[in-house]
Amino acid sequence: MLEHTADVGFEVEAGSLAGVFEAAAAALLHVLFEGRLPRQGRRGERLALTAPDLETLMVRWLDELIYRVQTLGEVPVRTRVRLGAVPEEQRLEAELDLLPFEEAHDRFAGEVKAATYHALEIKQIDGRYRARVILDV
Amino acid sequence: MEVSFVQEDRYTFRIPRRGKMRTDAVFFASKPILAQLEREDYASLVQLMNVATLPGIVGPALAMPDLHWGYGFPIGGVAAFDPAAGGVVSPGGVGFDINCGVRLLASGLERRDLEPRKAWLADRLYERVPAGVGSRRRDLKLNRKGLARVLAEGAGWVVQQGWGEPDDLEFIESGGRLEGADPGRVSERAYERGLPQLGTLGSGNHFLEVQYVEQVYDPEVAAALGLAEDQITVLIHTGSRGLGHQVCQDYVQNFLQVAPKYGVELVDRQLAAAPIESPEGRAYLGAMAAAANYAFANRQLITHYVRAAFEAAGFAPRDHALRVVYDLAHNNAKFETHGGRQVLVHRKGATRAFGPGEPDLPPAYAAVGQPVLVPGDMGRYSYVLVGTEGAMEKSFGSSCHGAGRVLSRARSKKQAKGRDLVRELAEAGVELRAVSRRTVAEEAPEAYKDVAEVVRVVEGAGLGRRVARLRPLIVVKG
Repeated sequence: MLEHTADVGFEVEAGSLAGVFEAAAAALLHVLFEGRLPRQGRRGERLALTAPDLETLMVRWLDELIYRVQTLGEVPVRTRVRLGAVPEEQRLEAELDLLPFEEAHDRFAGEVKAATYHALEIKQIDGRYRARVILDV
Repeated sequence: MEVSFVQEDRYTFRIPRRGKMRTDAVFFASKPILAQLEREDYASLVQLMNVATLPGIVGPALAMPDLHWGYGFPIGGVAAFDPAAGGVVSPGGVGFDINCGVRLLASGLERRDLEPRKAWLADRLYERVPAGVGSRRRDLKLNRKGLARVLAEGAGWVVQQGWGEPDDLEFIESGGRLEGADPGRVSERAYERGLPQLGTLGSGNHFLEVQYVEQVYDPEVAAALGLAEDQITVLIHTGSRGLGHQVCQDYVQNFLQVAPKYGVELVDRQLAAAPIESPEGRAYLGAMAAAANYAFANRQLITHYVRAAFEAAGFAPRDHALRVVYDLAHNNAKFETHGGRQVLVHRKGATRAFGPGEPDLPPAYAAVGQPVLVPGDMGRYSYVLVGTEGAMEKSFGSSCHGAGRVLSRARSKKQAKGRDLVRELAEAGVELRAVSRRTVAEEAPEAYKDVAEVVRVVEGAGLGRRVARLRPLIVVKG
């Protein structure tokens, strides 16, 4: 987790770009919930998102997960991400393992408003990928 | 980025224009506040300098003494833009929680009336004011059509349903309804997020407090506001919930795409902006006003729940006599006239603070100025101020919105480890009811500046005048 006075930030690292998106989803859950959540959901769902660039794709991905938890009451306890790109568009396809919110309610730590673009960064260092995100809480 | 500033007077500091800045930046601080800014490597001042790069900015980019590092604009940031000079509107200059604000209620009760029933009332408030995710609203079934009316009509819609008094509306900034709201500019997802959340408090720094007036500094103004020592008051802090968050998300992404078309260069993508007079700018302002109306309605409905909780705790309506002292926003953008021209004033974590005789004040307050409500932390106190002529001259009629954080949430949680904050507060006379233990740790009193220091600077800089100090008795947090 990153030090940020008003909000909450995190930095995640993975061996692949898709892994960074999965790690960012796990970091978001770490902000939303206290303690461990089950690794298995009750049902699966597929999701597809597009964006003009990777940073916007990260913001849309996290905002989508925030919406799933806080509006639909579905907690994505595990995500499997595939990324692709066509000219001028980044594409994400994900499989989500969803747990009903009621089953994690006692561990809910508070709402997240949104992922921000402030200081947002996705970069490759020494063959690994790293992302930094600041959430508005 | 290197930050250098000059001190102009005891509490005013100026960052001269340089690089891509179109104007100077000015902030108000004291030595202790400067030390706190330095501890976060002046991140909030860098953000203020970024605001000064936006097209059409009028006067300096400003920051109030509770400024701290946010995203896009700093928290505590104020900036005015001229629509006639290519001025822009930036959703990041309003924030995700559009029209987040505070409402102060004054009661007919005194501290001695409340003390014997304090814990009982705390439980009733916790039961009746839903926090948000996972909690259920009891008495309101809202469909999409009804929500569209909320977005158009604001707090007035709630009062029409019988959940409030017509007099309540007179004491809300802009009468509880921003002009120009366009519910058709609000996305379907924002509607979906807003439907279940009207009348909910939310989490994080949102709260509901029952307090007493501990000290009156200006008896004449306090009397005009209907406040007296030992009187019980209620402070409600919440905003536009998921609906507002979604409106901001939608338009930040839209503005990022259109900014190059209008030649708006962005030094921080969270400052995404479009000209006020562009179709995109107008669309955002319509959606923003709709979300602002949702926030006014939200605080009105919570007021209804608070009145019901007092009644459930054994205080009859004629005894609790809860009435709105004032309701004001600290995250919005409003058209106002300053220096003879119409400008769009963004306030992010800053409140309007109009002085005596200014427009849009309730007639009862015309001679004393607009009430400015400044919440502190849950262990100490909050302040009631009034706006001044000085604020009109120096800060586009703006003042601070709260204490401002000094500790990150992670650090606050670490410091609170092993402590029983609920018991500590109870020993200090504060009944705390909270959904999340983590929120309590993140919102520990020491995570915030002493709001007294912020208020001292506001008063010293001439941006507001102290009227009363309020001490918490009950705190409800999501």
